[in-house]
Amino acid sequence: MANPQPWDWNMPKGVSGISQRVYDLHMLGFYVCLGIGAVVFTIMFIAMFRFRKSRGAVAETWAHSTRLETVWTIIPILLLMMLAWPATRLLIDMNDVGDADLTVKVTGFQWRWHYDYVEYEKANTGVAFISSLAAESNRVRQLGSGLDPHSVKDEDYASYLLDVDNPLVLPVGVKIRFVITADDVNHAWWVPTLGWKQDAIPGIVNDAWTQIDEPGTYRGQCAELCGRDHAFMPIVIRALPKAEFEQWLASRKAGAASTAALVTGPGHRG
Amino acid sequence: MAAVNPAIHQDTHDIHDHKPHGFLHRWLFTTNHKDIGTLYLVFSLAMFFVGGAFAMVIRAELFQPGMQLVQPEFFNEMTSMHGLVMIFGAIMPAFVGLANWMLPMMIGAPDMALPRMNNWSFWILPFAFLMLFSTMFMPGGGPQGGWTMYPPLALQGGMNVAFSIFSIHMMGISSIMGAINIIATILNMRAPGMDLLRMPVFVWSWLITAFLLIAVLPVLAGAVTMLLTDKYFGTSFFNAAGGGDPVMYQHIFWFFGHPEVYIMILPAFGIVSEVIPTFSRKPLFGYQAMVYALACIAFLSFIVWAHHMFTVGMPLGGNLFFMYGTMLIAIPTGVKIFNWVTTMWGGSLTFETPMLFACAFVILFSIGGFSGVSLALVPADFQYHDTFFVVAHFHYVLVTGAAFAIMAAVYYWLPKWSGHMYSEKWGKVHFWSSAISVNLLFFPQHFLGLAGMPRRIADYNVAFAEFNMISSIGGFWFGLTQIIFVGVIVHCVFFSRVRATGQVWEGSHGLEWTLPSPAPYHSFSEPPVITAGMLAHGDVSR
Amino acid sequence: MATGKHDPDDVETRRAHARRTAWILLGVVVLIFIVSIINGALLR
Repeated sequence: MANPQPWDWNMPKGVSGISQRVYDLHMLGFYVCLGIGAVVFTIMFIAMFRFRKSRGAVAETWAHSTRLETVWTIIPILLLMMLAWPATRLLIDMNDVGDADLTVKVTGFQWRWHYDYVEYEKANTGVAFISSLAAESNRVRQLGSGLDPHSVKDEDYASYLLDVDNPLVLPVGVKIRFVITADDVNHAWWVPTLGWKQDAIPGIVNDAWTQIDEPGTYRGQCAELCGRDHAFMPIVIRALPKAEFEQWLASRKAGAASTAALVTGPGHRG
Repeated sequence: MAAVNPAIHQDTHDIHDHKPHGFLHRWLFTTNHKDIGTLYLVFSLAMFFVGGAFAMVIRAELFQPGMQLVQPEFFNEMTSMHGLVMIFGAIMPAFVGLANWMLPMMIGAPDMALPRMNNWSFWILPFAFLMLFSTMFMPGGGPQGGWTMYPPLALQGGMNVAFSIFSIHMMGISSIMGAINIIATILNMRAPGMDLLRMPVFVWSWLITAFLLIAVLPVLAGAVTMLLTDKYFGTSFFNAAGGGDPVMYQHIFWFFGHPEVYIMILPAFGIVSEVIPTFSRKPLFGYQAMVYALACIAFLSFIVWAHHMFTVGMPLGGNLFFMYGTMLIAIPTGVKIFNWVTTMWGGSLTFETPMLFACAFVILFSIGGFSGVSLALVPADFQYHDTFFVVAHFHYVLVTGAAFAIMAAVYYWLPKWSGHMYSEKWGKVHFWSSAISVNLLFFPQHFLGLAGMPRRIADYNVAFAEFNMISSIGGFWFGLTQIIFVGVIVHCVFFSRVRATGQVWEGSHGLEWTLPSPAPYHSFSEPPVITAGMLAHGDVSR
Repeated sequence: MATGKHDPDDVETRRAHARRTAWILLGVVVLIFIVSIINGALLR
């Protein structure tokens, strides 16, 4: 499943080539650590049982071995190089934001996201809107509301605090570039199924990219403490097949033309 | 003291136990390193409970999804205050307290080098924290921008900005004075024969830590001063609208913040390097490698700060540099872990409470180190960053690392301080209860973070409910368990009838164990004559 | 720092050396503080 489920205990594999590689790197790191841990802790537990004074163990007096110490300096170096190599390659690929067909500008402000479809296939779209926490979640999350968070549903998913009024609609199979900034304080734009998060910082424009492989609804939220309602500024992506996305964009464009005044969003900078 | 230096003609009976009279006179005006050490330790224990109470509020609100107890702004206040109090109020003063008590006795000095400044550096602290706590009763409440105080968010606070910044200045001044005192003491006050490479590892760890403090606390002071002028004097160091850079603050802060992490763990390494050899009845394996590893970790701590900010959008080269640098730290840290395990190998082990805490430290700190290696991998960090995975990581390092080492140290040296043995049975109850509950508390947080729960959120999706509830139960259990700790200490100091010997532990070596228990109010007024076999490291044949 | 070794100095001499160490360190602290602010002003 792409979105958090009860008892989930590992990173999602996600829905892009990059997110799959991030997952693989995470698991590689985990197995290397598991291996080291298994060896070290086994030796330690053997020592704790074998060399107990109550079993008559007599302490030895040696306290140095250059050979041993060299060995356990070199082995970790080799293991770390094994991790650094795929990490470096992946990082270089994640950094390559060129040749995107769709550019979306994401602006965080307290406590909403503003999305601006800056450019699609080299054409200006003029589509922009604000995305905030869905009304039902907002009602339930008030202190002492007495309402059950489990009752909040979106498409059969228990979506409490992970649902919005206007989801970010994106095409599948298209390289999408995000330019990410903020208007007031630092935020961070994070959808775990895309495999990364990127800070949204006032006065600074960051970029990142993704290419979603499967249609679906992908949920995330702000990941940088941004004040009172930090917990209540979710992100929802609705990934549609390319044709449906183009239909949606066209209908938004038509709507935007008639209500241009409503979608200008917060003030822009940089 | 059997050995009296013939060069000094002084009546040793005259200076024995010459405490000042009157409670206030003794504790307020004291310049005695043992009294000041006690003050630091009592203060840090009190702060451990205050910061723990804040954590209980956090865990209670996160017990179930939905907002049940507090408003989100108060929740943010709790996370910020919990961090500040535990770091600057609990962990750091505890280590300084241990340094005050033990360093002079370990190197054969009569006291710290600058006793009056020592008094001052302690007595600033309670006032700094009073000032910090007072912000919670001001209009707008206390700081809510996290302990890292990132602008622009932190500058949205009201009156608390000025007060919390001044209190951080005071804490910084206190720590800087403490660090200067420790360096001056270690470099100048060692007894003849106590060469640098014969010092106990705890002394070494503190010497290096004190240099870290000197190097980075002024940087923190500079960072928060710039916040202050940005807020009140119209400067634009970090204000994007005025041409400033909010990321610059993060760079400056973490240039302090990363060495700060090692400030909180190097003395713990020192403690564990004392405890494990004692209860293994075998000298520390690879003493020199241990010292060089400490120095190496301290050096690396200055060139890895930006691994706390991989997601701010640094250039590729920057991210790569800080990734490789961070991974390098695993090497000296690994050397330390392997050397502790090898110290136990071939020893004659007993598991008194300090040893139990030290063994738990080695295992659980390693787990924190493993998640640290994972966090160093930048692409994976893009997922881990600012999630509960990070929370789990640094609590493994700081609670089962630093705090467990402090507890090991307290059990280890308490008989030396009080002259009585603590209750081994209740010490073990405290250990097992802590060790089980702390894993229940923090291990599920790895899962939460990986599954997608950000840190510092007051409420969460129902998918995170189960592990949060387990974590909260572990949290309440761990919190309650610490009352046993206080009980064991109070019993040992005031009620225990079992007298401790001078050496206390069968396997203990070093100058502090040549003194009677309790250690006399004034010790080593004349430098001790160090004889063969007295020291834990290196032999004296002169 | 040479005084730590096998010298016959009494405690007061050591303390005098320690005070000198402390003043030097205090100078270092002040210097780092100033440099950090200059750094904040110039590198932003």
